[in-house]
Amino acid sequence: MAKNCPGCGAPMEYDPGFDSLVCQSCGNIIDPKSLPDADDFYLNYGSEEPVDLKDMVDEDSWSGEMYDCHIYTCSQCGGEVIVSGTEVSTRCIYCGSTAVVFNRIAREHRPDYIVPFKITKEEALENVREKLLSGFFVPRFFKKAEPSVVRGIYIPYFLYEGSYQDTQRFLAGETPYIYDCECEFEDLPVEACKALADRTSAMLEPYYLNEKVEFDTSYLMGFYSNVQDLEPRVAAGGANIKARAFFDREVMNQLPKSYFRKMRRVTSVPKSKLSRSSYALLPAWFITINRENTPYTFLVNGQTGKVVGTVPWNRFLIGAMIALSFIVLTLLSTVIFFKSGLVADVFGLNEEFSYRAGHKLSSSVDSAQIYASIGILGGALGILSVGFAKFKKVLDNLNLSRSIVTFIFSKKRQGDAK
Amino acid sequence: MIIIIMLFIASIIAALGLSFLFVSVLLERSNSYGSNIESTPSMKRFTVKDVNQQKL
Repeated sequence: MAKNCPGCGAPMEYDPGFDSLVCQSCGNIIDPKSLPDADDFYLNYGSEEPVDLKDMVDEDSWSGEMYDCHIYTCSQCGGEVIVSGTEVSTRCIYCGSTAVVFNRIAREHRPDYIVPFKITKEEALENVREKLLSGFFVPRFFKKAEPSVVRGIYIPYFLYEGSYQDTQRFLAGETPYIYDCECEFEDLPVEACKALADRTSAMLEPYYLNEKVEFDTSYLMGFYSNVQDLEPRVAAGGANIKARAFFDREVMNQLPKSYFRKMRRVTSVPKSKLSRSSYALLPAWFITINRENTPYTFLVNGQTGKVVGTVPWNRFLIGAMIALSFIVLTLLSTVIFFKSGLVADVFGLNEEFSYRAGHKLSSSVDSAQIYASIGILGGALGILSVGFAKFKKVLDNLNLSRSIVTFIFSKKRQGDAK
Repeated sequence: MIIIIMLFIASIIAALGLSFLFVSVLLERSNSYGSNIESTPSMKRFTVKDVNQQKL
């Protein structure tokens, strides 16, 4: 269901730059709050209930995998729009009209709050472009590439409030410290949508929820959104983990700075009381760049502009950089090795031992040398394994942008939002 | 003599490890964005009490 311009009747879209609905035809700008709310729209238009395919189709006549979806009629052109089970707003695939399926929101899980987009599409693109241009190892393709898909999507979150109490015991060396810590908080966001990988959405945070406003369908105009499809009890588990991480971080911040470096937490007895306080939609831009049929999706926090994503690396440049730094470090260590007089010391040591103790002691020095050598070699291998592990971790992060989950989440919305 | 050879081999191995470490850090800064995960609920109250007021 679109909200139409009172002037010309064309569909309107929410523009973060103006914080208003803007008519795409005549440029009319209207405060969203001045328009009737979702319930009024529903009654005024008298739309039919969404059609459940189970009522229409004999399931036995279908073969292969099935999924739940609903059919809605576009209020602009009368075309039928297929919407997957978790969608609440989309564009008409026929006329491109913004069609908000407000009845699902109103009758099932209407959000309590929404954080409207503050970052415009242009700003989001600029943020991603800046990151790509400043990356030394970013392949030239990405520095010049134009995004194939750009979508503004509201992600559903549960907001939790509660209290957390813990008695934590720390050790600074051998000295114990015990602290009783307690906190009360609200607006702890936990993603309520199964479609997007938790890790991806978590990286979009922080959202500043003091800027949330009462939910109004006007903010959905021109954007896509999902409704909550995660069981609250599953989300509650995530809330507990987040609350614990948040609490522990805050406790460490409160401790005297002079102790901070030395202290390590040895005991923790947490008691928490969490409850779901509200349900909110939070904004994100999904920007996809295709390279050789592989999608790379960047996420931009629609409120703060924070960019999340990873790009592939220029293999030649990485190889050259590793080789160059290896040669430089090897030369450096060789020069230090000889210039420091270590070689002479070792020879001197051998001579001294030989002189003092004769042949018997000389054989014991040999075994000492072997042990020392093994120790030194072990240390060097340790450094090598740390280097490899770090390199592997960085490469693993590349998978984030290639995450098919993230791509499908963005791609499966109907229409072209570019 | 053996210790000199081993030290030299060790320095080369360490140099290789440091090269990977150095390039990994550069690569992470260059090609990975927004990896810090931080939840920021609104705090209503927060108290920390030193149980013994001093070290035990």
